[in-house]
Amino acid sequence: MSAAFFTVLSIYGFKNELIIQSSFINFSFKFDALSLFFVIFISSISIFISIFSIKYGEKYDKKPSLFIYSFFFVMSMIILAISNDMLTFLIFWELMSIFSFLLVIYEGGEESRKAGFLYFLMTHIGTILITAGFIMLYLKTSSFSFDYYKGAAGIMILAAAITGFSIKAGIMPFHTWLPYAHPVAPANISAIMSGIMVNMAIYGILKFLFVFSSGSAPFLGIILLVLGALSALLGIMYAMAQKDIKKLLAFSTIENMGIIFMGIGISYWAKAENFKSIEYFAMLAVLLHIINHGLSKSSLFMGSGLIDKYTHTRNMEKLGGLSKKMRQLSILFLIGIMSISAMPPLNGFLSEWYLYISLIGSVFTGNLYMVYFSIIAIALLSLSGAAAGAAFTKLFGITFLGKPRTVHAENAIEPNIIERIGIAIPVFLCIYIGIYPYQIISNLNAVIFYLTGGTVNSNPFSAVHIISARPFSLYAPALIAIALAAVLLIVFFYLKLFSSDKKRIFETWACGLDEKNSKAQYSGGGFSSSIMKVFSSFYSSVSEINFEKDVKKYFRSKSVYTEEINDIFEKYIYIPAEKLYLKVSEIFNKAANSQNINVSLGYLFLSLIVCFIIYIFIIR
Amino acid sequence: MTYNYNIQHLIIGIIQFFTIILLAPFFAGFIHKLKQRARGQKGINIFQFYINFNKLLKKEIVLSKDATFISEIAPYIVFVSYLVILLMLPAFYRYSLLGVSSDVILIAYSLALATFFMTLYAMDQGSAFGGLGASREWFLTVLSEPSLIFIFISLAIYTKQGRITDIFYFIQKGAADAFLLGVNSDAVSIAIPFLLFISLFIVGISENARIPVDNPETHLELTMFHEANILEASGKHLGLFEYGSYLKLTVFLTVMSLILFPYMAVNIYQIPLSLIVYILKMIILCILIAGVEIVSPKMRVFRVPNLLSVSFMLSLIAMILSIRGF
Amino acid sequence: MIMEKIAELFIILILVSVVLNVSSPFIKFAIKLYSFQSLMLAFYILMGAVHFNSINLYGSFVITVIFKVILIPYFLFKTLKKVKIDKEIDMYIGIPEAVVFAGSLTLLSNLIAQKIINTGITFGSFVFTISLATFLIGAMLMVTRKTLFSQIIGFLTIDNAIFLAANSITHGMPLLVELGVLFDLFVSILILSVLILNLRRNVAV
Repeated sequence: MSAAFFTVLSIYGFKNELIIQSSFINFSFKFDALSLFFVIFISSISIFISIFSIKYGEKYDKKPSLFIYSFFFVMSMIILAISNDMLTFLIFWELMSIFSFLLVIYEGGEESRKAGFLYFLMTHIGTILITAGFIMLYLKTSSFSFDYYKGAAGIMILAAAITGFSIKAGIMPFHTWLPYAHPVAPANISAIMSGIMVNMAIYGILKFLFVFSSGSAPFLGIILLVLGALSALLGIMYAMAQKDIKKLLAFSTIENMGIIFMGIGISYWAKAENFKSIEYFAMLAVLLHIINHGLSKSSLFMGSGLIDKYTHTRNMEKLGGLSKKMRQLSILFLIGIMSISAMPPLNGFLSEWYLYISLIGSVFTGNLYMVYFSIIAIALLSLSGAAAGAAFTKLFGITFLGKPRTVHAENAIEPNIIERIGIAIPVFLCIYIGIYPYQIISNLNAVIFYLTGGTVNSNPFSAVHIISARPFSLYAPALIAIALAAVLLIVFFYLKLFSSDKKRIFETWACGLDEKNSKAQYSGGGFSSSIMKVFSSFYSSVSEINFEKDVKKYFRSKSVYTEEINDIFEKYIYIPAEKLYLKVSEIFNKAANSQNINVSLGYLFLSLIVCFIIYIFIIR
Repeated sequence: MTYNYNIQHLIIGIIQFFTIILLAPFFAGFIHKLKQRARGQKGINIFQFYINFNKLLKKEIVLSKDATFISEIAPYIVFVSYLVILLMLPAFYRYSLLGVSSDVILIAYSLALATFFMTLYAMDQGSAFGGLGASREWFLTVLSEPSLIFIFISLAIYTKQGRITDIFYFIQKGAADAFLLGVNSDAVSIAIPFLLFISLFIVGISENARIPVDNPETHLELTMFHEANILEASGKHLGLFEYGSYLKLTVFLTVMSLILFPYMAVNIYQIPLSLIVYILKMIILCILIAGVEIVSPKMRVFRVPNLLSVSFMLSLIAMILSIRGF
Repeated sequence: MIMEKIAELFIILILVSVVLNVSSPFIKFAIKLYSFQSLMLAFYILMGAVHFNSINLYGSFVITVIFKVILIPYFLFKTLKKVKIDKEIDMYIGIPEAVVFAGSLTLLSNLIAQKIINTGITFGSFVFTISLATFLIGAMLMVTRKTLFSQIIGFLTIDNAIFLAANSITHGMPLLVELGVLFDLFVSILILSVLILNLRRNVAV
């Protein structure tokens, strides 16, 4: 994993354009602003994860294939970001998928094999669609190189490619693989997958929508906006229902991908309808959110890996009170959580603020349809913002605060210093970007210029203009942070001077009872149940309480409570589809598996003819 | 609108900030007193909450043995985030200290920041009440956040301004132009502020733990929302939480008062009048809230979404009305 | 000018009363709201009457107050007292969902209104939006509620919405037409009350 470091060094070795020619295939690479942005993003986050893995990876030393796989995984992503023709892109896309698949099934066992298979299946459906998009592009331009694709992609190509990429990004109807695949991988791999790999799909979408796209299809932007808003809301709602820390984080990835999709949707819509400043601000929101989500999500996944390593469980109902044992980790985790649930003045809020501004801007445009969709999007975004706060309060409160619920949590110790450093760097960057984003924004302007042809003003104190020449609003994070710090200091010193400093340590009040049972604390399921009850139409949850029969009503020796939360998409789309598929394939199976060899040959012959017909009538 | 800070703005901004902070416990105490008198009790001193705060500062802190660093920092952060919101808010003078960055969404999210830390504090000591309070607090916040943001964004769309100081100055100017001079009357509306006021009133009641939703005076575990969060707090921590809740009430009341009747001083000579008008408006709002608290019974928890959905719907109608002009 | 703003407020209050109706399960409250809603409608008509100085509209105002604000609620209350239902117990969708659905119906009706409206209508597309929204929400009330009372309220709401739309597009209908419509409505309410009472007696609803 630490080999990723060398990758970065080698990347800076060559400059602009590079074509490796071999006898049968040309690999061509090119640096533009977008790919440079992604290369820096991938390499820096993988460096943090590498530092973390120096110590954390020790438990995998017996089976070192992890490090080889993850090296190739990161490498293939970096090369993917700089590849400049379709074959290179597809080859490295496929390599990325295969290596991530190998990493998902790395730990073995029934669960990870199942998750791996689902991931493999979904990701290949995605790849087929992307390939289809590329083939159509090839047929249109008769070239492999990306240079010729500028402005060539029509609506069909965009639809195919974007569907393919959104499977990789885990956008709502196609998200089913993500909450299974991310938790079963080792923590550092989950950090890479969730922090970086899903963003490669965003890279592909940006490339298709803003570079290859031939122009105006504003409704595509609206579709992306709606899909994104739905994923943001449902992702966080499902996250709230989880008990497994890593599963919660995986669902939160879906939410953040949804937010990024919303930004892309608005930006593309504004591009098609020629509202320049909205386009730039939405694009800024997208790019900033990619960075913010990458930083905070990778640090949170690393943290969850440490919890897993030192307590041997990921179930938060078995944890609790870790903050006393792992004090520094809990501080880092808290900042990561504040960042991801968009608390000002950290960076998560910054990108969400730009998204709100571009949504308000698109309300201002008065476009007949976009106005309504942006209003709905604002409602869903604000709901998901608050729900994110609830979900992450649950995560932190149940895991780190209170009393230890089991022996697992009692025996936790502070993680190794190197592991803490690996988490601390992205967390520090979260604070830095949150408080002083102007450096980053002025650097991102190059990417925004490459994608949209304009830039945003990175001056700290110049207000945002969304639609007219009048300044609309301003969020000056530096100012807010200074104000927070100053007021905090004043309050602190005032109280230091004018209040008593006496302190007494005593038991928690429990109605005067001598309550030693740490299971009497509020549980994670209880925390989210009231919200889940109101939004019960999102979950198709089944819960029941089983009592032993014929015992006294109030003094039962044993009662079993089971709760099962189903994904509505899984329950109403995927499982029926699977059943249908099985039924159809059974019919085919009966027809095809006849003993007669002539019939089998006949099928082969038939399929050949069908291919020819498709070639003649559809492609030509 | 441009912001040119000069020394006058700064000084009046500081005065405004401290005036609101100092008045906050008075409003809370006034509501309490009104309620008690209406029930036929003798009632507390109106300035009782100042005395309480002073007393709490002198008491010792009792920390739970399960408490972590969260218990040490959370009271300060909750208090400070309300203070920062007050730094942005104009009350009786056109400019506020942080007016240049007083974005409406920032205000809504700063309220969420305070909730975040208060609920973390609640869960810190491993008490079952704390978890219950945190769960219920987030339940309310999740439901009321969309309406709050809708209220703010419809104000922003209605006035085409994003900063809260600009928004209310715009409304004030528009109303003055329309009703006093009779010019440019298309820009103002009666219906939008009316809807937003009712909607914000409902959100304010639920966010500030007032009676149809929660009872601020209770310590009975079945009815606690806000109190369950700070059950473990003592000494100056409790003082900070209590003062923070007065500040939150004042923030909501101030925004309501500005929607109800936006009158802010534009120059230094209007300040005495605008201060008097501000306090009058606040007292009227306090009477209104006390009235609502007296006549309405406390709701069941799962009845609360009905109320909040109405507030959401009202702010949605206001939003539709305000996009009409574009 | 200021009249227009106040008229706007009255129209908004019509929509608000329907929303409150969706959000509350209490039937007594719903009837009171209907009465309030009709009063707001009457005031709106009155403002139109003052504005255009039309005798038709004045007449319409008086009729609306007599029938919709006083008589129909009175009969409904009377029936309610006899059947002793005070609360809608179960609905097909929950109240918060219903209110959010009503919100999306309002958005939809604004979209429709913007699409089909032409210029030259008294108070712009706005009245049409509100009346359409009221119409749709009234229809939704009829669909989602189970009790006959709520359905009657929904029906009356739809009637109010159509009345509002008609008043906004024309400058008041001929008095005769309005009277006829109102009598029809009144008679139908009477018939429904009798029906409810009979049902109650025979089947125990």
